[in-house]
Amino acid sequence: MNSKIFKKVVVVFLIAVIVTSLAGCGGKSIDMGESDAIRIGIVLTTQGLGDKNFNDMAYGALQRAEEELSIEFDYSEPRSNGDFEVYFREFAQSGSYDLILALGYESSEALKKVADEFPQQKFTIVDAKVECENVSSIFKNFEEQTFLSGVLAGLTTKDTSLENINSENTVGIVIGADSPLLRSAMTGFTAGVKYINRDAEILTGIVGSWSDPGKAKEISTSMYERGADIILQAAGGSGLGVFNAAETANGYAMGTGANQNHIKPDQIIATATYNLPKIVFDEVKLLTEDKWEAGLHTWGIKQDAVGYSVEDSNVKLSPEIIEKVEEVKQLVVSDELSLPKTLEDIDEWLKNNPVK
Amino acid sequence: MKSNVKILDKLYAAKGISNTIVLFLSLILALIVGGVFFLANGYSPIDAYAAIFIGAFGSFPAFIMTLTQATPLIFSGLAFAVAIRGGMLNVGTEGQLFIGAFAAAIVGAYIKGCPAYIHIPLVLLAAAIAGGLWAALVGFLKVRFGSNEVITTIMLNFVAINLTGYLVNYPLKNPEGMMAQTKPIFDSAKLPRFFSQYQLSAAILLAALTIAVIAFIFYKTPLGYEIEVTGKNKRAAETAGIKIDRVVIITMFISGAIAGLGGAGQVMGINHSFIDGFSPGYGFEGVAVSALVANNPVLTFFSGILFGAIKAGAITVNRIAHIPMDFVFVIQALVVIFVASPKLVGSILNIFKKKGDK
Repeated sequence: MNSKIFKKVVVVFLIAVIVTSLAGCGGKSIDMGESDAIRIGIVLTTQGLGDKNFNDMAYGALQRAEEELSIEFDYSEPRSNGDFEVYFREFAQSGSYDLILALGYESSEALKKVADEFPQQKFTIVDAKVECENVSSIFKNFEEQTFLSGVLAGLTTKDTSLENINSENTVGIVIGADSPLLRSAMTGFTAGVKYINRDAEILTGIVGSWSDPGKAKEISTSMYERGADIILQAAGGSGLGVFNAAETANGYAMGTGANQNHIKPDQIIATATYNLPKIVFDEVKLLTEDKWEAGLHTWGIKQDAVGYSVEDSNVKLSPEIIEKVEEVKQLVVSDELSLPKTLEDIDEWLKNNPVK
Repeated sequence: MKSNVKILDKLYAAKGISNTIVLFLSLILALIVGGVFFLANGYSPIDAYAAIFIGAFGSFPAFIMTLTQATPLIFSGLAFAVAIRGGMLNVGTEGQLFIGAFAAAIVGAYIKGCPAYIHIPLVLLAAAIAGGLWAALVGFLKVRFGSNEVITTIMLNFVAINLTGYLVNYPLKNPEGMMAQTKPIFDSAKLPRFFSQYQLSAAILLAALTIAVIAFIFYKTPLGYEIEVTGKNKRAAETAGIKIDRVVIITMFISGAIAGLGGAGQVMGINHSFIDGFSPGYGFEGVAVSALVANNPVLTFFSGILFGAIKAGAITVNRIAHIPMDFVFVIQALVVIFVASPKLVGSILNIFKKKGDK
């Protein structure tokens, strides 16, 4: 390149840059946290924003709180599981937050450490049990999350008027890992199916990974071949494999978490939903009303934190089925029906709880 | 990188402009160009830089945070610098850091009952040997089979990260708690902290000590001389009777051992166990740390602190200014690019110089 031209380009570029950066000082100013509003700090998980799940749901809830409750919030996106302690301490040390929010069990140990060091600081952690005097620890009953979907599946598998329902009285569940949490998802689903449909057979599969849709597809395809017509996935990223299998094997599937029905609306009949936005929003609301309390809090069907959704699905279930599921839901809400805690308890529980 | 330094010397020796000025100018340039990125996304660059500065040096806790963040970066920067002095591009410091950290966590948690003055050196030794052997394998593959060390180190990163990930998720997972991590190390294996409420540990002193040892090796021993000569010109080294195969493997071993010590520092000083995926890329950032000071082992201490400051500032800027941390890493990258392009900075300097002459 001609060196004179090059020099001119550089000069012009530099001048432009300096002028614009000075002019830009009047731009979006940075709020250093001196206002009187209630201030929330949230430490997201390492997946960060844009995960279309946990983080986005919590962020959305805080945005809603910002509008409706006029709080302010700041967030941080840690880059590794070793970073949580740094981020919690960073928030706590600044002393300008009324509440620090954490998500997921990955951050629970770091949170406990920092919460012990800052006894005056309020913390809330969702989806983990942390016992500490200044921590509100919210966890869901996974068995309640899958229970109503179980009832729905137990009823639907007998409704042969639907295209993909076969004559077998069989359904299935695929979980991501063999862990206590996921076993409780299995417990809820099994209890739900058996409660309404005592003779139903339930096939179970464990993927052993949260990100292996291929293996999940294999497992669920063999389930469909063995007569299952509805399979619930509780396997995170692997769950997409279940949906794909449903498409190729002409079966139905169910999702877990944020409503997944739109992913394959012709196959996914319902999602065992987890209403994280509501949990986060309500926790913030409690804080603004000065009703926030430390301790262990369990959220379930009663608090509308978990449930089921058939929205966005193209499969039209009969109104009788939905009506029946709603009836069972009311039984749980009114405490007339309490759920079994482990798979081993289910037989005993079924004896004590005949269908009403 | 080395040749760049030579060009610099030629460019400025006559004009009396020192490398320091060029370095300083590179930083300023990076900040200005980074400012354009901030502006383009609607953030005020001045506010953002102010927030970064506050987060890095604005208070005592901030400065401690800077040093804490700097510690692993000094190790990985030094590891990279040592390798490149010997003519090896060790892009595998991340993997060596994982292997070293893992070895430290195992020796720290499973060897019981020895006092700290035995346990700590034992853990450090295990980490250095593990990281060193992991890297020496690359050297061996290079001299024995002629494999390119850039490719093998990158690939071994995946092996190291996923292998430790598997071990810590399954056979060696701490049964208490849901997190994928090893059992906590014994108190006797923990590096002391300067202040109980901050994470800064004696690992930073260990980093300084390691630098001293490396400087001694490079400037006072025949081995250091052999590494330098091999790195500068392999054929000349061979003609001079240096066994370059041996030197290549030893260079990689030393480099990997340093990276392994960096991993051990995180385990023994910060996390007190091996956490799956604990490093957000400390090893990779070592390349930048080293490049900033033209791969001078002693100076990696200061460039490590500078990058630590950028990281500490990034955490604050992310929190209070809602600016994604990625922006700060853009600036970090810009610093390195400008430092690594001395001719560009030189041209800019010349413009001003000529104007001054007129």
